[in-house]
Amino acid sequence: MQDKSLKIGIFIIGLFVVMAIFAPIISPYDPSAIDQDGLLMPPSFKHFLGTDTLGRDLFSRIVFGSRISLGIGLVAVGIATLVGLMLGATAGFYGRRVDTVIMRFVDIMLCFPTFYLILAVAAILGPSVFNIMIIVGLTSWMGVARLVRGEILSLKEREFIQAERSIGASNLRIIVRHLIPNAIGPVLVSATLGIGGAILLESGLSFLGLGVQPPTPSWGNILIESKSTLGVAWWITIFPGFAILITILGFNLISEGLKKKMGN
Amino acid sequence: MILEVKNISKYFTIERGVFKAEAGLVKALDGVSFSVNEYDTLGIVGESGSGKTTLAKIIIDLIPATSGEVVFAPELIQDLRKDVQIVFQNPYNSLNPKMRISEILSEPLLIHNIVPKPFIKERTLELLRLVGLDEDVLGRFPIEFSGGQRQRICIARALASQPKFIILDEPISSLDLIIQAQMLDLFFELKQRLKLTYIFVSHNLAVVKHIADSVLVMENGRVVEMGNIDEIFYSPKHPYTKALLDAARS
Repeated sequence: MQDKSLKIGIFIIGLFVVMAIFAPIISPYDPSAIDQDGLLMPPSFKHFLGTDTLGRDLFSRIVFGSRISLGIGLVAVGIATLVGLMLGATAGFYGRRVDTVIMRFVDIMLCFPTFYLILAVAAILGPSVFNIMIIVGLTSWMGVARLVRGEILSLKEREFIQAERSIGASNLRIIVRHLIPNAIGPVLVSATLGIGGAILLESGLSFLGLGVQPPTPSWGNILIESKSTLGVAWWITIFPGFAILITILGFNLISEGLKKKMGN
Repeated sequence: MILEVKNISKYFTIERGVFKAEAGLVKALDGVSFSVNEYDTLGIVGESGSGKTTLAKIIIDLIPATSGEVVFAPELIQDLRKDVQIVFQNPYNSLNPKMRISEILSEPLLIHNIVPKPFIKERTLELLRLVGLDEDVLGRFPIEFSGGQRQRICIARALASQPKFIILDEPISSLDLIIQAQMLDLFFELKQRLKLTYIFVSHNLAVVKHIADSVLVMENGRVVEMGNIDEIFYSPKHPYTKALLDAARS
């Protein structure tokens, strides 16, 4: 049972990753090619998932959009995990003042309504894929930091860490070779969950026009373009929404599976 | 004399509330002094909470003392982290669960440059043979071993940096009786072969009798009696020592 959720999750995400990597081969049309005779075509054999208001092939756009959406999810969570890991490990390991300073900073960051902070920063820096990766990453590391700090706090009292000290291992060696490998499990669980969150955040940002800019397709900005035609062309809303849903479900399943696996 | 402990005290303050007001003082160690001669084994005996482990950790500089001094003979001990090692009580907790035995054993070799890199594997094999384990354990993880085997691995790690002085902090009390006897033999053999000096911490006076030359009896952070093994065993003076002896004999 527990293995199943992990397997299904990996299968789903694997499928999307393959789709993102081989996007030019898989998509039947150029995602920005405009077909003036085929606006708002419903799903058919010619256009697998239909076309949008400009006559662009929706399937091709979703396939190319997966590159952007998955990329943002992975890179943003990568940044968040790295920052959280470093700050959390430092706080947990050194304790006292260092801990107080870092954890109060975490509290301050958590006090900001993250979405509006991201919105404001995106508005100032200008929306681009790169900026969004950085911004989302730098505003979502706090959970990781807290998690890692807690793990390190309990790990560093364990006797194998004391034994490392007594053989003369440096602090850096103890943190990198002994503490982090033992604390990484729960971090992985929260990271996979975080990827889903980051993809959702990107979609939200794009929906508000501060995310990935057209004509580059991302699942979020395909959705926003569908807003005005929702009444006549349901497919433009349903399919990218479905892609987001399935991806997040996939990551959640992986996260769930990892958690159960580590519980044993 | 290889080690002299001078008047060591360790107090823990109990803090309460937001402003960390001092709410009490626990005297884990209170004016402990003793010395150890080279190639001797000093047994430290006392019940749980008497400060034995705290003392061991202070000697090896894992925690600081509140006052007092630990002095190693400078001509014998140059680098505390290399020449003095410790083996902990709980072998289930003393090995990094994410590391293979080969990595665990090669760490001290790398840190202290004991042997050139190409010879590390050979040296780890030597260490394993020294503690009575086969070379097939190298690629395995700690979880695959029993308590006794793990403790042997811990001993091998402690021996890796070629120490002259080893603190054994209740090294056999979490093992079953037959293994305990084997381990005592191993400690004795290693001591002879490698010319080691031991501090052997235990709550069991009967175990200490097998290995120690002299004994330090501790109660509530203080030394209540000290002497060579026969004195303590056959003519104990302090009532606490007598009580421990009764406990060991029953």
